[in-house]
Amino acid sequence: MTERKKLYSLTPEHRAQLEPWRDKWIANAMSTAAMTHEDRVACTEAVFGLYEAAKIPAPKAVVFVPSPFVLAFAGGFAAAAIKNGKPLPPMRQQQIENPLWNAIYRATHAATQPDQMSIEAGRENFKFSPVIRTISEARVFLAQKPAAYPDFVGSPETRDDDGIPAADQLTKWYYLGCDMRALANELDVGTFGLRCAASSWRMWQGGNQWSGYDAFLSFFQDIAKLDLPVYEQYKHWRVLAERSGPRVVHPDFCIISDRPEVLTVDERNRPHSERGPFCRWRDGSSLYAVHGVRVPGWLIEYPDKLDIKAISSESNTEVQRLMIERYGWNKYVHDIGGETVDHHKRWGTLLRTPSGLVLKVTNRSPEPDGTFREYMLPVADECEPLPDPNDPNGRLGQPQPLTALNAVASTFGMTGKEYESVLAWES
Amino acid sequence: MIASIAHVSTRLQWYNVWSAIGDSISAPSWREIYIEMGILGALGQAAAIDGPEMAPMTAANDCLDDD
Repeated sequence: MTERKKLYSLTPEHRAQLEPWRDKWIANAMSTAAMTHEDRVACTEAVFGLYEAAKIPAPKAVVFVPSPFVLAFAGGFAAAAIKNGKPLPPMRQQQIENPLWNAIYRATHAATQPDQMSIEAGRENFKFSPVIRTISEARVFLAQKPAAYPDFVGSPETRDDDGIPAADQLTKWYYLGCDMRALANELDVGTFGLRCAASSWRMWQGGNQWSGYDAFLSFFQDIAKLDLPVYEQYKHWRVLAERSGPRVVHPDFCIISDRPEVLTVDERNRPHSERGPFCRWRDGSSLYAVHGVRVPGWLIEYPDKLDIKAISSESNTEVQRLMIERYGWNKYVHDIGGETVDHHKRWGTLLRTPSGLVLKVTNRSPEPDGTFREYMLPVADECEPLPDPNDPNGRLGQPQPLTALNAVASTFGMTGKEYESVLAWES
Repeated sequence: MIASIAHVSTRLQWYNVWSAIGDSISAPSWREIYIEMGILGALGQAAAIDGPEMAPMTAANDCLDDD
């Protein structure tokens, strides 16, 4: 008779460890510590272990880069170059003044042509680090020449306060400061390379960004002490989660990103910063958000540029709401020349502006802090019910009297009467 | 488009632990423990994971859209 395996049950002592264990991994996910030489050695070894555990050949190169942007683009460009089966153009011998460009340029070369990198590394006018190809190389570097152990491929230059990009470079919620199409062309991978970069999630593993999962998996290893043989294979994955950012894993190469130098959240753990990027890496690449809403960088770095034109041209309702809140609702209505056409306590205020009718409404669901958000919704000139946005042949409905109720109803594609009857039926 | 055999194979080391843990627990279930740990809510995963992880791919897609 086969002995039945004893299954684990959560004990009160182990339950008490859930929260501190979780918090330890949250700190790991939110870490802004730069990777050290020791981290890179441990991660190099872990990468080789990861491939070995998966019973696949070791990668030809392990490359360290300063940010996930470099990771995605260099990973995509390198994958494209390998797929094309065509060597990259020879490396230029002079750097240009753009850390992100340099990092992607070099990392793509390092991932696809590690031999060439090793040769070029000796030239003084082009200081970059050699690529690690074996575990023994990594160990030798650390044991004999700690200072010479490969640094990031690229310049981990920290931007100072005076180095804020110009407003016209901050039109999106992320900042790169680098023309990726030009770089793809210089590396001769073109649009295919950009497509591969856009698909780099296929090769993506989160490192410390996926700490949520590792908190759970490691709890049963360290606290519950389950004796699972699979932990022998998992240990490599865990080292990478504890000591590095995300990575791209490819049969020929593995590229590993550092952690950010800035990562801030609000009281509800949403991405948030009113004074600069909420997330920034050491190559200057950055992300902007306010209470979880991704906003164009200029809104944070150059708040004095916020005007009526910027607000009116913003197509994202959440971003527009944030802009109006910052501008001031009363000032906004005044400055757009808004005249009240109709007001109803429940349905909101219908305003006529030089650019058309708009409805100021208050969200009926409160925010967690008890406040109610206000939004500005565009309405058709005669409150005609709006067509289904997914219907390419959709048309406006029949004109209605200009009331706040009809305006609300029109945004749902209904007349005021239809909307009221739907609400009556639902209640 | 991208040869990602290595990615799939190495990720198995992670999937397999989930499976092995699930097979080794009686009560409460692994799902209940995972929820009780509360990591996803507390982590602020939009900050630490979603935004930083999505941004590079979004940037690459935007390059293609601009063509």
